[in-house]
Amino acid sequence: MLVNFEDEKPIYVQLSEGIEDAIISGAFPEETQIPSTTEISINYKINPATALKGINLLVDNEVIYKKRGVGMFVSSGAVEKLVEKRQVAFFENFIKNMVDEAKKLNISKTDIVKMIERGYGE
Amino acid sequence: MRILTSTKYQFSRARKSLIIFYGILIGVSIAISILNNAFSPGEAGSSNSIEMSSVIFIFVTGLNSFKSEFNFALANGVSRKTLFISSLLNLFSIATLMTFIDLIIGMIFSKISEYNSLFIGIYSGRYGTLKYTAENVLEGILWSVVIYTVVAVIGYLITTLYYRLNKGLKLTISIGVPVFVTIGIPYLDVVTKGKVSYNIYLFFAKALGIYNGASNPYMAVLSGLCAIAIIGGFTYLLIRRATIKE
Amino acid sequence: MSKIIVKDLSKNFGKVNALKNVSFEFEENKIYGLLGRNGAGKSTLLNIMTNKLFPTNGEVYVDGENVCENDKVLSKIYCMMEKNLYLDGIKVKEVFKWSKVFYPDFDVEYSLTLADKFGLKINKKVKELSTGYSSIFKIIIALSCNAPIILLDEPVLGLDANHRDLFYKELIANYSERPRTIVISTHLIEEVADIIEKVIIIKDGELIMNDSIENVLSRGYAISGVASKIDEFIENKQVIGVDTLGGLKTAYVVGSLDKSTVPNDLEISKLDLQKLFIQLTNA
Repeated sequence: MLVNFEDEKPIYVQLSEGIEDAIISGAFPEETQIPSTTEISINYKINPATALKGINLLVDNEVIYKKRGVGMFVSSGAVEKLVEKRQVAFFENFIKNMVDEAKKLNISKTDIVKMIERGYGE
Repeated sequence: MRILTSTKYQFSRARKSLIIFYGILIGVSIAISILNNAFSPGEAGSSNSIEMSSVIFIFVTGLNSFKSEFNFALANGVSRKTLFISSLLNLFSIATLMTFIDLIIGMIFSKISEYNSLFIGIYSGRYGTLKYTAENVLEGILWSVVIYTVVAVIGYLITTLYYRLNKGLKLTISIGVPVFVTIGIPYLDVVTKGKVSYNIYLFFAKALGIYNGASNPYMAVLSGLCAIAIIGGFTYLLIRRATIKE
Repeated sequence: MSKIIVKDLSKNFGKVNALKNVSFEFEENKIYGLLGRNGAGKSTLLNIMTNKLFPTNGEVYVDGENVCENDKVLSKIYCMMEKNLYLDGIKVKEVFKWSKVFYPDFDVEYSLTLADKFGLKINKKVKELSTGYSSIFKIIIALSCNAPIILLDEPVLGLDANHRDLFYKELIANYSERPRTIVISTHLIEEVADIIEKVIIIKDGELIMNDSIENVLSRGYAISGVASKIDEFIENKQVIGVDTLGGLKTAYVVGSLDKSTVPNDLEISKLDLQKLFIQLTNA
């Protein structure tokens, strides 16, 4: 799990996205325990309230759930859910930016498609 | 509760120097009596300097009882008032402890040599050449505790005053007081034909209860208590608004 | 229960006004960053809060009681300050022992564990410690004393990167286990930016900000691009500062941002605390 705090998003959002990434990649498999809020805040040297906020974002989206007195676990079906969500966000986050940048650099639509094909080829 | 805690701390800091002081005092006294016996056997050595050493020691203890204790108190959330009361308690405890130690040392010395305590020496009019009796031991304890405490609080006042004064005033006092004592008073004596010195003597003689043939230690105790109250009052005024120094 | 109220606080040193009528509150059990440039009045404020100095005007209350000459209230606060307050030849381990006497909740075992982790020699005299170890020594007392309010004045002074890392981690672990009010006064803003929840900024003895980090950072944004376009964009907006590099300009703007009004060739980024601080406290 890598969190880059230089990003322009609020830290708690970055934290929850970092955990999401770890779940998608399988680092935190479904139905396994993830580190506690305290462990996370100590590890990344962030305020426990911030860490809790990031965690709660995931709890609210039912990506993880809390077991009383035990800790937090990845929900079953979390990976599928996250992948779906990321796919939706893919257009907003990547395609739009890419097109904007391409326009700035005078790259035509066909050129972009070629580049994408090259990217997949590698 | 915090007063006792603070007193306990201060006493623990003074304990080490007390042990060193008495170690040296006893060592030197034994050495002197051995030398005395070796060179002039039979002749009594008059070593009634125990109390004088104690007076000097407790004065220095008073002098050393403010700055580091004040800083420590500030570090540990102790108010100035609590610090002040506990410092007085600490100095009083040291005075009491030293009184008893000096008494015991004196009693031992009086067995092996011609020893008179400072107290019996000063109030010889009351006790004659009597050795230790219940009466003079009890009165001696009372007297010595009060006198030692007075000396200690004088030291404490001086160090507190120095802490509060700015550099200029500190320098003025450091030079002014010795100059006044060594040049001012003798000069005034010349002008007034010795009246100044005489009055100073008179003041202390009356305060100690030994004026004009009197020999009353209770007078000294009373004067001492007044002195403690006055000096303590001044010291508290100085401590009340003392602040940390950069 | 450890709310601190600073009310109309002023402090003059001769003709210098170190604090000018400052009023604010510290909410309980939060980590505060007390930021300000050198000489802004941070240490003066902390010293008055712990009654090491007397204010010229105003009061500080903890749980409704004035801190002035108040043993009960003062014992709820531990203030680690730059100055060494252990003057006579007292040893580190003796200070731990006595701290337990003055702060009954002081955890001696924990202090020894920390000393071990930091490599602090407990048999050394306090006044013989180097700057770094002197800071470590004071950090350990602050973390171990379990007072409900901890004030840290430049806690990482002289600490190397490893020790700073260890300190921040221990601080968070400690806070997670026992939440309490912690105030960190520092000029190393980047290091504490993610740790603190609230930020107080003092400039020339005046309070210029007291807010949560999140609010502060979401209150504005930085926008950069070609100077002429930036100038056009920031017209009629509240700009707290600009950086210029050749024909490029970055403006730091306070206010909400309507993304649809931003020209395509201008870039928006979030404010970071350090930049914001520099812009706010520049003379």
